[in-house]
Amino acid sequence: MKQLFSRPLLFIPAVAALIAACVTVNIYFPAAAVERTAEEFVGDVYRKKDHPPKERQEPNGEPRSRREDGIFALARLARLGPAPAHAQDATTVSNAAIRALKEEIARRHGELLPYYQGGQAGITREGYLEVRDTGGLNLSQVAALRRLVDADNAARRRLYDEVGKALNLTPEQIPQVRQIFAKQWRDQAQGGWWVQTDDGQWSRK
Amino acid sequence: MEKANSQRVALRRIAFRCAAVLAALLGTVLLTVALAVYRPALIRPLVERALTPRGGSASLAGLSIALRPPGFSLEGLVIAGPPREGDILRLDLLRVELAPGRLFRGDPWVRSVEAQGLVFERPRPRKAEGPLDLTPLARLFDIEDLSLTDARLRLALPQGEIAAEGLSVSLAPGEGGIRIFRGDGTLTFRRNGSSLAEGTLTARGQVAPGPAIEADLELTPARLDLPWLAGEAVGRAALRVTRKELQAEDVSLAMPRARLRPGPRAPWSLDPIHLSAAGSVTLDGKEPRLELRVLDVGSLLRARGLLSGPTLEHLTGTAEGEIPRVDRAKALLDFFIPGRLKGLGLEGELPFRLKLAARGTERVLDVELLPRDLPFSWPEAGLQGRFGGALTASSPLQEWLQARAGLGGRLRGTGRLERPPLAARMFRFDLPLAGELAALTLPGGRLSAGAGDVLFDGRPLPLGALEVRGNVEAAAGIFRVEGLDILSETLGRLRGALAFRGEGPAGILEGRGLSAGALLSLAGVLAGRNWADWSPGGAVDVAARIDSVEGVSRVAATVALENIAFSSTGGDVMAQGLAGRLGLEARLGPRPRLEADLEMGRGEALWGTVYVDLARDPLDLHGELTRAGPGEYRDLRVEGRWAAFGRASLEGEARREGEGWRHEGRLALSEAQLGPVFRTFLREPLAATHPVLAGLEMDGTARLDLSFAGSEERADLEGRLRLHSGDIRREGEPPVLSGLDVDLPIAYSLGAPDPGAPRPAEAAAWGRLRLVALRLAGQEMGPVDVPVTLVPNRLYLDGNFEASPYGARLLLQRIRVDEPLSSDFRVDLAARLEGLDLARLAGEGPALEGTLGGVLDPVRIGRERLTAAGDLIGEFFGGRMAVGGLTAERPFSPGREIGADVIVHGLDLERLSAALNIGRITGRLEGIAEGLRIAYGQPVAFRLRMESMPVRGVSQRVSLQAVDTISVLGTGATLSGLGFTLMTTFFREFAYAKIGIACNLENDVFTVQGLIHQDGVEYLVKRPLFAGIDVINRNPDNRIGFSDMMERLRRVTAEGPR
Repeated sequence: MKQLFSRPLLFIPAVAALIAACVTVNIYFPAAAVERTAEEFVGDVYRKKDHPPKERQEPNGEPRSRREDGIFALARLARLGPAPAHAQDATTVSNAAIRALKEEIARRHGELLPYYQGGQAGITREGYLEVRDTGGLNLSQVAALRRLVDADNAARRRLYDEVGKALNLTPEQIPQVRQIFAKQWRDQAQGGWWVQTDDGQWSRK
Repeated sequence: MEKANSQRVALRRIAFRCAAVLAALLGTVLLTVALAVYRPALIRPLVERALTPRGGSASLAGLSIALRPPGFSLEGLVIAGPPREGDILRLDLLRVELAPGRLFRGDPWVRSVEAQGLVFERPRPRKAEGPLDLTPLARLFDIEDLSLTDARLRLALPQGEIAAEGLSVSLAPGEGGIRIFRGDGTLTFRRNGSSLAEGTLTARGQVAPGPAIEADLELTPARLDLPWLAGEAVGRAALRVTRKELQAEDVSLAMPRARLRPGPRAPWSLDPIHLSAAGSVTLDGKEPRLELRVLDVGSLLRARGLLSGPTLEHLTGTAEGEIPRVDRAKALLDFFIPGRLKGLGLEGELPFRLKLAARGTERVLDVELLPRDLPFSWPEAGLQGRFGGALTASSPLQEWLQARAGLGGRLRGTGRLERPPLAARMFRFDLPLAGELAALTLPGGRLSAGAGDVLFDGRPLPLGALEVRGNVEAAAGIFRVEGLDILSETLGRLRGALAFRGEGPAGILEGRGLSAGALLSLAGVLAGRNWADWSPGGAVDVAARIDSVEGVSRVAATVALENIAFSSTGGDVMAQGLAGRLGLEARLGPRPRLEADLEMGRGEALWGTVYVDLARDPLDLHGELTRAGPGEYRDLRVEGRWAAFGRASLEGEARREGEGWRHEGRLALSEAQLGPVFRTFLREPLAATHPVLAGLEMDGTARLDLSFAGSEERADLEGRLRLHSGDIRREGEPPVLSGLDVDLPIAYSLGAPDPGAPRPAEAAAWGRLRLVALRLAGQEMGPVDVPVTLVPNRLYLDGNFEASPYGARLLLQRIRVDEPLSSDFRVDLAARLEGLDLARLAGEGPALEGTLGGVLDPVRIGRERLTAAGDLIGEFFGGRMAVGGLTAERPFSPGREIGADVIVHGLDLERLSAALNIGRITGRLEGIAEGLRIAYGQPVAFRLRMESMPVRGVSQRVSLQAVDTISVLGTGATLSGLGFTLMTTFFREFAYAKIGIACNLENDVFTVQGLIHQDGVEYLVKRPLFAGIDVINRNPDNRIGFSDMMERLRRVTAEGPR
């Protein structure tokens, strides 16, 4: 320590670092949880069309709750206690609203799929859908597509709010949630779909 | 022989007779001369008769004849022409002395001539026949000594009267045969009694033996007093007359201070006028030649040229020159320019060329104006530019006077137009000229402008390159444009014909297949809106008729719309395949009026998510509008029918105030069918986001009568809305709503900052709302009959809404909706609930026992949140339950999230466990569920604490099945195996001392923990001191996934008794 104070060149940055540390306000954003949630959510939605979400399976393929049968039950008769936690992955976020929204978005995804593949609907960098080309559609079809997109965007808006609420985020942090989901919507999009890049350009995957 | 003799005899006889005759004649002559000399009175009648013209008379007072020297004298001679001509000649004295001997030598054979008192008068003009005869001038060569004094001439010509006073001419013999010539007199030219020109002519010269007269003529002082030109003049000429011709060399005429009289305006002082010329003509009036060397009319016009020909009637030649400053010339000639062209300004130099030619028996005058890049401006029309080319006018001379000269040539140039709001940065014109002066035509006239060069209010009109062609005729103040062809690069082609009269244009214009996109872009620019990005398509046929009615121009147009498509910039508004007809009639007077009829019977339109098929719901509209002044529109009326939606009419007026508009009027909707309105504007657009709307149909009619007044930011509405027989149902189900009748007085302030008017007291301000039945969540409400009113900006529902949901009595009171027409509406009410049967509320779920009731006041409902103050209190499985903190997020969304706090006290576990079929548990329970949130019918989160409460006389026991239930819920596993079988052999129930469980749900993870802690052990169920059963939580982080918990709940509630 004495050496430190005797060397001004090291002392000054050290004090500056201390001052900076004193005034820094750290706002916690659970990016990992949101990313994991988004990855799982988007994956489930995109797979829903052909592969309904699988029931959570243990590594051996059997529901974990079933493993507690057998000799352990007798031992618990005298001093019954709950089994170890069987919670869902703690790194994801879910609740009834999010699950319902997933169901809703996944259900609508099946209706939107032809429009993704036809290029009429695309995924924006803001995590929403956009009617980007109505060529080849008559107006009643455009109306149907637009209603689907509006409804899906409303559900997505609620989804981002719900994820934020579930993570006790502030309204100012919701755009970060949206951007993380936007990345997943685009990254997991199938080839041939239209997505908007971060610089606003549209490209076909 | 005999024959020869007889011939000789005959010849002799003939010779004899001839000699006798000659002798007789000579005798007669001698006798006559003798009589004339010695008895002149005897021959005077003969002389008078000889001098008498046909039809006229002659008298001679005295006659004398001398033989040595030979000569004669006449006195008092008067010769009068026929009375119809009126010519008269008087001569006081004429004395002539002859020198016959010189006659054969070629010398002047008239020795002297003395004339006194010569007067000649011709009071009536006589038509000239043949060339001017100047041969009398040659008589001067035969006279040696001449003295003509005090002569007077007065000669009437078609152009006026020319007179010479005090005329004297003399020839005096000089040396070498030269005679000195002198002459002078005063010349006057009159017309209608006014002197137009007057001057003194002096001639000095000589008659040479050549013979030739060489004289210098001088006209000074002279004065011109023409109607259009006046001033002093000075003239000189060098004259030479031979026996064959008259030559005038160095003719000059100058007016140093001329004044021009342009019509009734004050005279203009001109720069000096100067003429320099030379000319010649034979004495018999042939081969005239005039060389115009310089003519400078006061710097207004300069010319030079040459005219010649066999006779004056066949004179031909050219003159050319320039008008140095057209603006000055135009200013002088302004009086003669037609009214509309008076403002046309020209600058610079204008060259011209005149050509006089013979065509058969006619002389034709060609006038060519040859502008070269001449600037022009016409402020009244907002025009300026430059042009060049040639304007030719050609006609026989006599037709010029009747303005019938034929026109030709071609003018080309460029210009720009500034006539707000219209402007052209640059246009080109190419105008071939034809017709006559009085009837100008421009065959194939062409006007063109480049893309973006035509502006409206400073905005380029999207016409592309524009070209206008047509054949223009101008006659009698009417401009006709036939074969009008307007070609716009973007719009297409319009053809027709127009005529411009004093009262306005008339004609027709037709265009087929005009680009609807270009028309929309054009309309957008005219309206100051950018509609160019609406990507419109389709074609439009236009047929327009332009005429005048009662002095006001009228445009009537029929527009056929075919396959019209467009899309707004953001795609919010789209249309495809629109087809129909638009009829327009505009009167362009001081108060322009527009009427329009629109019929649309095909196509589709999309506004956001609202889709309309016009083939199914055709539109028929009529509109009228009068522009009362700048920024002021009156008599606006729009009415029409939109198929099943109903009829609408709008009347009103609008005027500009500052940057905005103020408007007022009346809107009426009648025969509105609620079914199509509901289907088109609610169900179909919103069913994707609100599935509850799917399959709903609505019946009923509506009528709206609304007056409005305000601005773009704020408007006050007042009127009445009536709904009749409103009915909402889904096929195969009882009506969701039936028997809705609304009579709603409306007073509303759009844009007003929450006026919040109080509840009106007077009965007249209230209407009624009647409802036979309303079914929500399977529960029916109604009938309802309450007063209702809308005042700024609150909707009041007076009275009570009463319903019986789940056997309860629900009373809604003091219902008030703030800002009901805004998305930020707020409902405020009080609710009273009595006797809500929880068993009926649970429906097919677990059989609940108990009732709830209470007062929630106030209940506040917004688009994003519902809150309710107060608690619902009641009985629940033998205990008490209170539900408070009721909230709902997004209450009108399918994803609404309901929140509440629930407190239970003294709940009978035996009845509860029986109802849930989870085994038998006896005892009493108290607990609280905080932060309960439910969405989509499932719990989202809660914090639950439950503890048994000892009650005297109430046993606390738990059955083995209940323990199994706890095991399933806590571990997911049932009790099984050998030990379990042995236990069930001896025990069915166990005593417990206390139950204490905390269960939280968050993020789809349940945590279950015991609330009883003893010796470091966490108990969910604690046995009594001696016997019983403990349920211990050994997992401090006991987390159960939501799906697992649901599965466990399903198992313990659905598998039945175990």
